[in-house]
Amino acid sequence: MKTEQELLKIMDHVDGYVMKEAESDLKEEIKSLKQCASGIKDLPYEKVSEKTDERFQKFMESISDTSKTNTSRGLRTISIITAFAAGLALLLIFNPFQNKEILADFNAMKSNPDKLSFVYELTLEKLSEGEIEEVKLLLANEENPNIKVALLDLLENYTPDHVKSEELFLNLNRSSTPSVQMAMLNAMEATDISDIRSDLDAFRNTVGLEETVKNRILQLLNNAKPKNLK
Amino acid sequence: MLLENDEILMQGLQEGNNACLGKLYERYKTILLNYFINVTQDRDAANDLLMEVFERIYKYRGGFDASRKFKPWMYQMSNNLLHDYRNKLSKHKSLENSKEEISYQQSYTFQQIDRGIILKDAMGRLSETERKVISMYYLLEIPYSEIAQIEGVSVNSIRIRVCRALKNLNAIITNSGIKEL
Repeated sequence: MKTEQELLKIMDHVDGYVMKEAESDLKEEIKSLKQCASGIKDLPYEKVSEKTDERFQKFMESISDTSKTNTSRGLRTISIITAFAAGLALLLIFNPFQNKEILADFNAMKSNPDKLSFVYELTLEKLSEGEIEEVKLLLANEENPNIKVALLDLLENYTPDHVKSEELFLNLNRSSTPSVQMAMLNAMEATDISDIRSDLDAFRNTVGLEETVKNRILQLLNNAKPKNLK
Repeated sequence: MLLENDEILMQGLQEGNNACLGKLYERYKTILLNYFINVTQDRDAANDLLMEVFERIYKYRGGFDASRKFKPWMYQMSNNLLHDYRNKLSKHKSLENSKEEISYQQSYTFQQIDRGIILKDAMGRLSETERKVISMYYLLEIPYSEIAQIEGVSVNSIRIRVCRALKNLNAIITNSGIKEL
């Protein structure tokens, strides 16, 4: 049984507060704990069910009904000058004409949950072609599997017009996480895969590839029309 | 892309713009759901808790101080809900008791040799307190100082809890015969 001081010392190493090497009797333990910690960070996220989203939508409808009856009273209290000033301030803060910079905003975020929230909210926006390209760059550079999946879900909204199967395949080739591979393949569903059929088939034979991923590739290949039948 | 920060959305909600709640929901629904799943180990309960968080955010929007950060406020609310959930559940069956029924010496089948599956399963064998603290730190990425504030204990106590939880997790994985994650 370790004392609290010893546990704190271990955590100094696990958290990366101490850069020097740990004492030999703690080395193995610290290594294992670090592996557990990074494993938790990379655990695949479960998505919110459609049922819950519907429940939330119903809740939103119910509160908008209530607030409609209250707004007229509230509006009277706001003078025209205050409303004008507020509008001007909002325009300055959220200038719709300024350049949108997804890459810069994303990279400025420190934590993965913040980055994820940012990506989820982008799904509510209509992205321009330039912004879609920025999202693709993020996808290529991102390490966290959950953020990768969220980026893919976002890009899926822009297939097949702005996201091509070749681009997705390049990412598939670079990824070794099954949840990310499945998200790539799901995104490919709406694209024309005739040019990457042989590549996909070859990828299916990758050593160590999960059975579910292999089956999904097979399903994609079977469902897609051969090029000459287009 | 310029998106409103959480505090501005809360201000909007306080001023009657309900769409702001929708934006907050989109931002936090997945991360909160996974937090609730990790802690409760019950998908249905986690979905209910997620809904309740946003209902409460709306209900108590007037009490939010826009000069303070939104996330600690939301996490505090989430933990209060977890507390209520645990109390409700303990009337029927204690979570801690149900945990003891599960063997720590389970071995995994070949199909289960997947990092994520092993970890999730092992996390399910930790105590609820342990699951909560490591989920707050590693999943929600809340700094130690904020977790300490939410839990009402010192930073060192939280770090010790995280350490013990990681050690137990590691022990469960090792006992199952898996050498490395």
